[in-house]
Amino acid sequence: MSCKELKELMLEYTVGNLGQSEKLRVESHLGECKECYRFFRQSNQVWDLLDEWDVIEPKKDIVTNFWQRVSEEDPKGRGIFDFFKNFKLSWSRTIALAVILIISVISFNVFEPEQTRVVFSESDKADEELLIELDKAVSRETARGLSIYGPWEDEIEKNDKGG
Amino acid sequence: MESDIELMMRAKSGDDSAFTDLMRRHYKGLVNYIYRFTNNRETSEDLAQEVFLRVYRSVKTYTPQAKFSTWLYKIATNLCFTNLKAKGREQNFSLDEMQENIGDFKDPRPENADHVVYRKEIKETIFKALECLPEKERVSIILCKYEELPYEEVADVLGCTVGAVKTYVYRGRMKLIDKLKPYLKGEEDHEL
Repeated sequence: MSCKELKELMLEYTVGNLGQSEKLRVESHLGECKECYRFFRQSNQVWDLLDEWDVIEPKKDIVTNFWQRVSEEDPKGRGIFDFFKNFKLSWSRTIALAVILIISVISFNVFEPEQTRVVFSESDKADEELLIELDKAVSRETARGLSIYGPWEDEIEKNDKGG
Repeated sequence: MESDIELMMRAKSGDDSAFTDLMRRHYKGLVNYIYRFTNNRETSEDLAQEVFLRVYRSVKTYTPQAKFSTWLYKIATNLCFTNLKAKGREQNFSLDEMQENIGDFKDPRPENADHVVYRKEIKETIFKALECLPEKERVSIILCKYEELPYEEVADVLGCTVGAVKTYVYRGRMKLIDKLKPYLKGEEDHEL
């Protein structure tokens, strides 16, 4: 066995992963080669030396602290105001909002109710004039007879006085 | 006793007491694992809590593909290195400086020496020696030595092959011989 081969097998040898024949070959080489034996010893010593660094006993009450932190960060508790508070305007969001706005405006114009687009026609004008004439002509007695009451009370007063 | 995976599945279905059991089971080991990277108890406890918080946040998407502890160590390792990089090295401690500090004394454990002082010194020296190793060698040695993980599990944590882990451990060990030489015993008879 060469020194290079021994170095490759040394770790396996240390942890007891080698088969019987390989184990014997390693031991044979270590018995013959002083340099490899020194290297082997130091490798084991350094591994054992790491044990000198003890484990620690954690102090904090992990469970209480942990659940407290979870409750503080719980996303279920966040409301709509937190959403707006944390809302940041980026280019993509700006474009998305602009698209939504344009679509809303177009949709409103397309689906606008029919009645809001009716224009004041000539026949409507004639009806209006007729009603004004009627207001001027009606007397208090006529109004009472027809049970007409309304904001044109002053107009009736004027009609009664004027005849 | 319920396995980690069973507890995680219960936690996934909304049972927080199962997650508490998992924390109690792994907390000490996790704090100690992180402690080998930070050498600071308080930071280690805080980071361990952060690890559990990350696990808790992703509990709903958990699928039992890997061993729970492997997942935990993986998150902890990433968090440790992110934290260490963000924090920066508070002290630049080279091998030369370390050896200068250690001096030339051959036996650092004289019988009458103050044991507490020695424990503190050896702890610092080992930490600094490990700190000098490349990341993967450091993780491999800490997981193999202190957490007693098998090579297969270390390979899962590091995302590499078992052969690579063995190489990392071997190389790391060789470097540690060099760094910790003053603490190793002198020559003994060439006997096996």
